[in-house]
Amino acid sequence: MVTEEEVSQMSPEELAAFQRQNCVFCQIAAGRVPAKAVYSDDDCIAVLDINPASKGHMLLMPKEHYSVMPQVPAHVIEHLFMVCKGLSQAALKSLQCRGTTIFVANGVAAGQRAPHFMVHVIPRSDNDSIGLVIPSRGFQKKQSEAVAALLRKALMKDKDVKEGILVEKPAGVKEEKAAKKPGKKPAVDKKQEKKQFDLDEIAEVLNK
Amino acid sequence: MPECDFCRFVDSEFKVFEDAKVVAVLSQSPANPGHVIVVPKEHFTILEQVPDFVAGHLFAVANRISTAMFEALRSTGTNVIVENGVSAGQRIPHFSINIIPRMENDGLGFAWPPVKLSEDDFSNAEFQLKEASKDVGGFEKEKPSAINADKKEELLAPDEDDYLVRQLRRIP
Repeated sequence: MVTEEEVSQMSPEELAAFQRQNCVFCQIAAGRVPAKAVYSDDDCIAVLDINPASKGHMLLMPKEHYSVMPQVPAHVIEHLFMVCKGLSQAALKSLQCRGTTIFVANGVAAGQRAPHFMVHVIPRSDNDSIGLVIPSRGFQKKQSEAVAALLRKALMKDKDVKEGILVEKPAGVKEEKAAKKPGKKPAVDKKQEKKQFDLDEIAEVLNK
Repeated sequence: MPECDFCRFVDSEFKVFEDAKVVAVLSQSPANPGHVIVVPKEHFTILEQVPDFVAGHLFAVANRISTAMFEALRSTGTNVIVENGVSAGQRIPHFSINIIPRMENDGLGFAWPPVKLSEDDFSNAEFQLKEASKDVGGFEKEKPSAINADKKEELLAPDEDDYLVRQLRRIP
């Protein structure tokens, strides 16, 4: 048994290895724990949920260990959700379903139970008993104005955003290329580092 | 294109983010204060119609907003939910991603009762999905220029035959 103190003294590399070892989903991704995999590529894997909401309920996850979505780099998110689109399509094509619910929970407060970030793809049919309805709890103008201002401010911290609105680049293509330039990376990393405290705490609860 | 409220999101006073392809605004029927929806600027009804590179970008933006919620709203969790198709609870005919900030004991609960499936059902689902997802990959990238005019028609054509889309169009 590894003590908490030992964990806190681990180097980032050791910690990553430790997490991988202790995470059943990392074991699944590595093929060391059997699962019904329906899709796999270099970066992600989709397996059937063993406690499904419906037939064909898939868990799509990056093979790399991330506890919550904010820790996942943008290029991994992009890839993951392009695969997600493909899997949703596959479900619509091959199973008798009429829709799909794509569901992510980040943090225990949001109902996350596994310590590995994952996307649920749930085949839906008319009048199934899955529930999962997003309730509407009333729109308050004053409060919304304040909340919108807070979110705009937080999103503005990103270099390329001005007053909550991304500065228009001449062509969409250029913008995509710019996003991949390594020069831009440090800005993102710094941002993540700053938030690491909160995220670590949220991730930590999941590991217990 | 039919009139769509979501195509007019760009003008919303509750817009929190916008770039060339997507726009994010506060939901007018929030599950929690700060509930944001992200939509593509171009009109698509369901995820399957959204070009791969737009879909990827939409979720990257959704993640950015979800991350901002932890910081700006002191949320301790977030849910990212897509209702794709009427059967999944989709109420509006424009593809959208919900990002809901969460706190402990906020009265929301997104859970589902697990269904008991036979071993046959599992194997069958595994086989079907594996077959159907064989061609996933080789994702569509944004073309250098002048894509929109051509692509629009290409993407809209299958609409008419698409049950899911027709069903959504019937929503008043």
